[in-house]
Amino acid sequence: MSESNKKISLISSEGEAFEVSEAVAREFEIVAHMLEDGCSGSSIPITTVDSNILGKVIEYCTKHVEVGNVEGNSEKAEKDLEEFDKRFIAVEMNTLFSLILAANYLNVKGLLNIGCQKVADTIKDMKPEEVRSIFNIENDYTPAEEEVVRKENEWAFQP
Amino acid sequence: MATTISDLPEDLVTKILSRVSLTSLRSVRCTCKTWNALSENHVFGKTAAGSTFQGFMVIDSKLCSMKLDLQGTRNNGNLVYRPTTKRADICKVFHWDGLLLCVTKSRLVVWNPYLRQIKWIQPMDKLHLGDMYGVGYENNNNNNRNHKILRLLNYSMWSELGPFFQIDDFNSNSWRVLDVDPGSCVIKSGVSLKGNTYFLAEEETWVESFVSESFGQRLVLPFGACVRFSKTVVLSCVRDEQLAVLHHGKDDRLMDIWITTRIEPNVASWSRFLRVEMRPFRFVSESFFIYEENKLALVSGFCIVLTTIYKRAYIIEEHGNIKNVNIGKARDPGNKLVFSSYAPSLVQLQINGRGKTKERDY
Repeated sequence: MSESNKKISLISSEGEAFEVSEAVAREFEIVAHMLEDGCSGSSIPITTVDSNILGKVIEYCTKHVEVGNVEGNSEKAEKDLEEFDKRFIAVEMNTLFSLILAANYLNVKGLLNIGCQKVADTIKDMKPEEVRSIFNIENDYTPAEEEVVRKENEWAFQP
Repeated sequence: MATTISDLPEDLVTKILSRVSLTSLRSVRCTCKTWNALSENHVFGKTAAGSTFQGFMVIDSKLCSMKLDLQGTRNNGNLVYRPTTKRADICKVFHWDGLLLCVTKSRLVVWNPYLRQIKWIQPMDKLHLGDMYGVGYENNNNNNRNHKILRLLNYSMWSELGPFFQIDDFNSNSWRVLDVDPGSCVIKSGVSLKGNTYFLAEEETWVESFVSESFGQRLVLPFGACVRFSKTVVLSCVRDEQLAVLHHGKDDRLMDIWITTRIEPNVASWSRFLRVEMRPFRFVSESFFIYEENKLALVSGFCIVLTTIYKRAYIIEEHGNIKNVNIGKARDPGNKLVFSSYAPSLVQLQINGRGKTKERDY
């Protein structure tokens, strides 16, 4: 019981410290592993994640730990959490990709999943030109090559 | 500096694209070379939730991809479909493990629509309209799947010869006559599930399971009536996980759909998915497709009024509500509204030493 009250500092790439409960820190699987491996220090450097993104990931984990702690998890709580996730992930593309990278590095599976799903949903119903423009992707096809791929996939599951 | 998708490692890009719906595959492939290459080695669209793409069917002898649009006119459903090739000689289509077996009048063709690969299969002898098929696979020693086509020739209608089976093995690329006996009369082509094939047997109240070149245990059907004494019995599957059976009694209007809760080659347990008092009474079902997420079934078939056959399709909701489906030109006589489910796979169709045959050769 006492362990859950223990505080841990997560240090962002800029050196800013975020104090969180151990339960929240453990949501970062990478941190959980460090703690299990006997890393007893109370501050853990997260060198690849900046303060802005680290703050957001902590916000996500804190909310999920809070809801997870409620006894007899009700349907309403789950709905609330879904709503929270939806709002949480409605961010600009740059932030979204930074969140995905951070969630991947820190191994926060839930956040990684909703992040990837959000990008996938954005691609839905878009033309290749739109996909390239929104994700800033260079078109490395020559016009002739592009035409071949277009032709080959002319039908491609579009009833 | 702003983070873009190009900053993500390949495994993350793959993770994202695997969640894109199958209907966006064309856009993904056309976006850039990297994404196109990734799509050839990973199945995109498989984990996509609420994918609007559903399956295939044959209309006007053309293989069409189809989906059910639930927001159809006047609250009815719309069946939306589109031919996948210009060929107009397809009679039947069967799905297994991401592959489609298309039966034409003279040949068989196996198609992987996701990889756009085609393999022609020359039958051992002339194809007959009454031939029945089963499709499946076996896991070999290297844990690869060896795909097989089973053809049941039923000459009993016009000769002394009993029904017999031929099997085409993808590895050996040749047909063999199989010395197997189903023990009872198989009446329809089989449904493929986890590599095995399930056939309906006419005289009895069970399904014959065909596993690894021989018939396995008989699986008892849930409705307790003999197939022969029923108005209609149709098999289908739910994803590649469960077997489903539709039963329409001969003398009553009740139509039931059952889904297995457990299915192994030698044991099955069933639970009722829905029961409905079917209207119109004359309706005979030919095929059905279960939309588990929406808790409804799409049932197709026909009504005979005087001497004319009218094709029909209905959405049947869990609580027995029946809605008419607008099927457009598919209602024309000669069409058989038989649905084939589909899930993409990376099964390679290698032609003897000649490498891949691309769809454009088809």
